[in-house]
Amino acid sequence: MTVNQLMIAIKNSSDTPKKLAQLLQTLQQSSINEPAPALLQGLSQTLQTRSHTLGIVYVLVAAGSQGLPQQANPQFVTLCQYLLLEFDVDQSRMAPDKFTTLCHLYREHSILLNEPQAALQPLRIALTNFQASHELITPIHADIFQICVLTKCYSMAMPLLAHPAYDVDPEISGMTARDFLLYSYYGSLIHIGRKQYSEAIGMLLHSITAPAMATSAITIAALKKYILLCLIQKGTFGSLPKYTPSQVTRCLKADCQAYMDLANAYSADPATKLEETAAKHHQAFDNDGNMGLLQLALEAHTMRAVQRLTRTYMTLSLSDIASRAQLKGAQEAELLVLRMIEAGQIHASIDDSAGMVTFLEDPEQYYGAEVVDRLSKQIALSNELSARVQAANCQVSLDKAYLQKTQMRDFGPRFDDPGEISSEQQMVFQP
Amino acid sequence: MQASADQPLDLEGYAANYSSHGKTNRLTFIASKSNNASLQLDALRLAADELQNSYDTTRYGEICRQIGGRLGPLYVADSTKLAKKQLEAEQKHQALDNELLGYKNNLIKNSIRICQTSMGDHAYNRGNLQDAFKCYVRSRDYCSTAKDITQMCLNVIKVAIELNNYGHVQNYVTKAESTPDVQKDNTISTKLKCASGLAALKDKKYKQAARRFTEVSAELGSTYSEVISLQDVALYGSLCSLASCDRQELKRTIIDNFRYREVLNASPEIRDMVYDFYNSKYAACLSTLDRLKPLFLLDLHLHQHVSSLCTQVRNRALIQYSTPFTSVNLATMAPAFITDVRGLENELAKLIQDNQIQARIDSNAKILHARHTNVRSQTFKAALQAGDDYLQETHRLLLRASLMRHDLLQRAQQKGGRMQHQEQPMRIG
Repeated sequence: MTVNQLMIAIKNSSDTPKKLAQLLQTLQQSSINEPAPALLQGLSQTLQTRSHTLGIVYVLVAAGSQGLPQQANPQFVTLCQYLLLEFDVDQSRMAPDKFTTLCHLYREHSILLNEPQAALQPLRIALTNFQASHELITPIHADIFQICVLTKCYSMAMPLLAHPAYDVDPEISGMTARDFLLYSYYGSLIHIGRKQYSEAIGMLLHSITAPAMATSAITIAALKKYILLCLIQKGTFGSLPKYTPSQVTRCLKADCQAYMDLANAYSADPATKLEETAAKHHQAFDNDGNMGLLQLALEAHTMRAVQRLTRTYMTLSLSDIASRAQLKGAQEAELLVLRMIEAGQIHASIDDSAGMVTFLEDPEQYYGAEVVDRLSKQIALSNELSARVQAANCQVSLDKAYLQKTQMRDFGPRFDDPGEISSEQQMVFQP
Repeated sequence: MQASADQPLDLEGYAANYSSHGKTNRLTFIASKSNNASLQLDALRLAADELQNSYDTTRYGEICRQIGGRLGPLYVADSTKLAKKQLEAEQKHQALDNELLGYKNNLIKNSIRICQTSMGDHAYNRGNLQDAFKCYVRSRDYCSTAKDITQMCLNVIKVAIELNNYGHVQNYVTKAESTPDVQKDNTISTKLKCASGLAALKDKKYKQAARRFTEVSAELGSTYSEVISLQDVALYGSLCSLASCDRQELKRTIIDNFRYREVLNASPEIRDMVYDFYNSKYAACLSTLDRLKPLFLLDLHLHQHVSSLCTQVRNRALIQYSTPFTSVNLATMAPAFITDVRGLENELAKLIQDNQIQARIDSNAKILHARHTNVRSQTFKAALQAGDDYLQETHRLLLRASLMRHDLLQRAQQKGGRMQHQEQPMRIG
């Protein structure tokens, strides 16, 4: 098909559902190999974004795939932008995989052109229209998150992260396993950017515990960040959840040695080797782009040492704090204690004239309305979740494959009946 | 072992507590650990005396080599004599072997067992522990009465202890204890308690070791002298109890245990140490401990555990001292533990951090204040945390289920699955 024929075909068969289905079939069968400029030229002259969405998506994907990953195409970006700001939702859902591929391409071109911000708004609008419900994760999520991380516009992604997502459905969204990994990886980066470490840990765990038969580089990168965040947040890295795929658990030793060494040095008491280990694996952390997190982990270590002191002492001189938390001197200790008091990490007061710090008990006594409020909210959420689990359970028990499998197990393997074994098999089973 | 550091070990008296391998093992151990030349030489001399007429020629030769002629011509290995001994031993082995073959042909069960056991004994006497172990274990198939079984178990245990194979020791102790009538035979059950105590000690299970050793009564005497002496039981049992039991347990296992008290009488110094501890005279107890420490280090079974046991005893003393008070002045506490205020503060801080003492230190006034944890807030905190964990876990579960249902598995060599690093190297400041 030439460009012209293609354009005419699209234009003529985009009005009724029946014709659209036909068009989809033709587009799926034919491969579009024309050069990008010609395609884009034809497109912009003949087609309209709202009425010809399906066709445009196919043509744009064909055009956008050319030139990557070296050369960006400004015209492609402009046309994508037009389409994403105004498109027909039903047509876009007819070919979800193509539509999301288009979003990926758009994102890549925009980044190559060095104007990722510009892509943010169109992608968000596209997502809002394309997404069937808030609970559905789509490949577009990952695109948006990635741009947010690149441009440091973390707040733009917050509305998307605020809703807990429970579902992935490749039928509706064209999702792949890799998209899910990217979703959780970039999502965690956004939480890290906003210093919400426990949320980031939860997000990373999604990708670490995602069912896998082989380990992706994304999972390994997530694993590394996860170890560092555990050190920052909890002070130790114990082990991965038991439902982690065994392939991923194995990676811990094979691919994250530097991080495991750090974790071991981190939780050793006294942590004399910590600085040394961090310096030794400096290169590894730098290559993974984790120097910032490493720095934070080291700072958290000192703060945790001070926090431990509050449990042990009622009063302690600044110089003693410095020596026990391995700080340089009383001055630095005072600064650190001050900062921690301000951040609410410890409760204490400094007597400057005597150089003494008096540690107080945690004033939070869990009386008051907010606690009740928080508890009842949690209970409500828990109830909602159990209802979901119930529903999922119900759904599984209706699943044909599941029923077949459990039945097989209940009645035992079929060749328990000797009549069904061939003579060959019988030979094998004889002692 | 009764002696103090400045007056070195009364080696003759010490060695008299043991017989056969028990004696030589301990003496050679002392010779290898001690850096006092005369003590070393004494130990070697006694060991050589013990081995002189035995079949264990390799060991005798080795000890004579270590003595190196320092004790005159009497302690130089005579090679013709050794060769003769060796030949004799070999002949005896052959004779036993033939005998065994005969019994085996005639399938006389009891005789086979007896013969296997004597072969084991012979190998044991020659110092060939692996063979001895094999022979004793083989005799197991021919045991018919309960008595045979316990005898076999005791033999295996004896060799396994020397081989440092404490897994077998524990196994065979269990096996022997489960045979009928063994509880009635005091000598055997006492031996078994000693053996399992040793196994627990090796495993660093001090509490279990304490329990087993303190069940031993003074009837043990010198019946088990090839493995352990009464003094050893007193020492191991007391140290393990002090390190691992709280006050009530200590009272139950030692102070009120009149049978074990008789055992303790065998080594008065240890007994006094335990009583000092129980009567809260920590300074006296700890100084005895410090004084005896170099001797403990020369003990075959105890030496690896000395430092950790001593630390644990000290920690337990600190905990017991501070428990009844709401506030303690560190300056008055320090002399009771033979240390200064600064050192005491550090020790206490460590214990508080390990959550062994519920208190906080007022470092300014040097006072230790007891701390009452607020159970209510802790419960709230734990409950909220548990709720959060549940929500997160369930969320992950649902997402995972969804991934599985739609078959979104990460597979090897997925199309378009480029390395994410290459795609987007990203740094977070």
